[in-house]
Amino acid sequence: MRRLLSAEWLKLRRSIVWLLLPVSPLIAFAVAWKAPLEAIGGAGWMEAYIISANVHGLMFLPLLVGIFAALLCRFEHASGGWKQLLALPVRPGAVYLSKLAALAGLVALLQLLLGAALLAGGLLRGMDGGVPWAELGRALLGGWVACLPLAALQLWASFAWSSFAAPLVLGTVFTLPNMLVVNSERFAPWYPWAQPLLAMMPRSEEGFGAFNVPAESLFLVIGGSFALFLAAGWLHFRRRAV
Amino acid sequence: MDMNHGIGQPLGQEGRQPWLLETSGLTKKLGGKAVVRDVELRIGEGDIYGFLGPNGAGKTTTIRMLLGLAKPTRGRVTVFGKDLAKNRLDILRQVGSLVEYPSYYGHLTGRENLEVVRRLLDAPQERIAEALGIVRLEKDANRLVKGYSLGMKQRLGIAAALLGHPRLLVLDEPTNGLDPAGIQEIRELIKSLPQQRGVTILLSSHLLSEVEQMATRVGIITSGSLVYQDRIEQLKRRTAGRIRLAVSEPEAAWKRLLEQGWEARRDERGLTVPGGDDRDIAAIVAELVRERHAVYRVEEERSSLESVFLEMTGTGGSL
Amino acid sequence: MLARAIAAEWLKLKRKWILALAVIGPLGVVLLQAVNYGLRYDYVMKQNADDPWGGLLQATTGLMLPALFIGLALVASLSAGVEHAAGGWKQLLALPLTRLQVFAAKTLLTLLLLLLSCTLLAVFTLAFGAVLGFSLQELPWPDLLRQSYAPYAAAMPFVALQIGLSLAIGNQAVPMTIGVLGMVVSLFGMLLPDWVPYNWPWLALKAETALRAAAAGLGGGLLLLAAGCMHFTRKDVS
Repeated sequence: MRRLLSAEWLKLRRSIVWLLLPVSPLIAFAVAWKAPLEAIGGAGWMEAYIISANVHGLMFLPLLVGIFAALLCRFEHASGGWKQLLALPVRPGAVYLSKLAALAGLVALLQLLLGAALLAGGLLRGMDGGVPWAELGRALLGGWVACLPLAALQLWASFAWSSFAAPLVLGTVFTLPNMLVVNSERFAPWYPWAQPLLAMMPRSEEGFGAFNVPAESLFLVIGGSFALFLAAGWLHFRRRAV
Repeated sequence: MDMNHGIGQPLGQEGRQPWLLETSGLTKKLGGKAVVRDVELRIGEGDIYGFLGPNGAGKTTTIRMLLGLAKPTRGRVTVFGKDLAKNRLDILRQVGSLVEYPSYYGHLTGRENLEVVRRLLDAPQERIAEALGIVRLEKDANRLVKGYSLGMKQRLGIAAALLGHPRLLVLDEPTNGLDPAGIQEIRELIKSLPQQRGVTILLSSHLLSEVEQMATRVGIITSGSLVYQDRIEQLKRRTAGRIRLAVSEPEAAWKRLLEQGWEARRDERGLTVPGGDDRDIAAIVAELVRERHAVYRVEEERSSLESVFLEMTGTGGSL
Repeated sequence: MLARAIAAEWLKLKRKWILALAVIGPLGVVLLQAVNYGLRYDYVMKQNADDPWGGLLQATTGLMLPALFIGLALVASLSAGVEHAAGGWKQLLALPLTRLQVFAAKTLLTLLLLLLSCTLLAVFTLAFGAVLGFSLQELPWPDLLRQSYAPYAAAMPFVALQIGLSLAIGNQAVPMTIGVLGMVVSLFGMLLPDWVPYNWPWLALKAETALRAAAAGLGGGLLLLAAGCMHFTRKDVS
């Protein structure tokens, strides 16, 4: 497993992943540094965070999960790499899990970069008050956890379809309705693609729509869909691999 | 062997006009480095022209320029007596090509692949069945091409190249990656085309043995330069033998012969002299005996085509 | 000749689900509105009581623009991708066609498919309004036509960009990724200054700016297409 992960790392080194990672962190940096936060009632850390998280969580995050998954599987589709990879003395399951781990790692890196960029922007602006470490940390971690079901699904799609565009279209088709869904108190908690945004919104804030739904139901949806997509992808991979 | 000899053929052999395909000073530089340098191809009507060279010698780059896929840095390509740069479409209407590895649309059937080409050529519908027949793909015509074997894809590529009833067929490494049966099949197909349909064929390969069995003319390219070009019989004549002399003291014998003005060569197995004239051989042997060398053996040695190429291209037997 | 080239392009896209995508795109946009209306019918109808058609059109366009952006990236990538996939370029460009004809055939097919999608969006929206019982006499035809076609014209620079990128770069991951990111940026396009092309499709929705945005889009699109075409006709095929 460690060897498989380091192999994934090698393959990623010259990938466009590194151009995609900084996109939403740069937005967060700009928001924290220069955005007219006073207009929305205060120039604190959480105001800057909420704006950034809205842009990031609504579309970028779920779509980037899909793009990363497709990029991770592209090497194998491009040059018969699946045959080569599965002919190595490793279990097919380990191959699948190493891809999922690499994908989760990339998303974690993205969340960390977002937090770091926000801090850098805020410090440059000279924001008052201490950094709300606990709230920020919980929100970024929540966003990461909420991405895991999407990661499992996109990985499945990226493995099943050799076309790069197909899994991207799948991700986009399900992410676009977020624009409508997040406004619905009744449906947003049940829609997996809306979870990253919901999970990234701080619980303590006075929210609207679905943003103050109890965490328990969110985790039920996230956990359930993750188990479902992971199992389906895993079974498909095992069947195809043997 | 004189490296320049191949290009500057006497006019008596090379002067017949007009050539079906002719290049002058054809040069392609990539990143400042000339990958093709001053190539002067001459292909006559009805030839099967074997274009030989090691991998990376510039064959495919040259062929790309002949088809207008790449622009020459310098030089001209004339096909059917017309300048390619000015009459590209007129020329390409009468040229079929298969470059390097077969081009195909894997998500389409074999027949649909040919239909794509047919629409672009505006060729009549029945050409598809005809081309499928020539390459014997009728049975598999309605299967998706991604399921084809490499040999079938190659045959499909040739069928596509034949669809426009070309006067010139350009086949770049057409037997690459095929199994022996597939190679034999493609070879028979290529040999039959000039007589059956009056096609002229330009065939590139890195394998001498392959070209030797099909070509009527050959050109040899190495490191971007054409080092030889003539009829295949001329090339075979160049393999005419030398006489190998096995003697007791080769070193001393060699020096003696050189002093006497004979064109002798020393190698690790002894020495050789040109085998042209019987009287010369007699004189040489007499000279050696006079000098008290023991002459063990006098034998004719024909160098193989392979070793001629080895000399020309500075590479191993597989070019 | 061009007609034959387009016919050949059309055949190449067989089994690529491209026509299905051109239909499913606008259908999905309208179906999602159907779900929206179905779930909150009373609320939505009360909000747009004085102008039911206007409310429906406005709701539809919010999803239409991102769908247009992803659609144009996808069609451009598919049409170039079939050549990149298995050495198609060297066969296609060694046929008696000019490079301009090849470029034009692929571009026109992309434009026609997108035009079909925009037309279908107008048809589906109209049909959905009729199902909801909106009066056809009150249908604001100019608004419907403007909202269906003006963003299409205004998005032309992005069509040209995606065609150029898809043709120039063999690895279709690059243009597709740029297309998806462009779609996200376009969502926030109306927040950007008027001169930024990402805002043009939004400006094209409004009656007062539609003409200018569409003209700017067509102009910019033509310029970019010319640049893309020049690059395509000059490059060597590997």
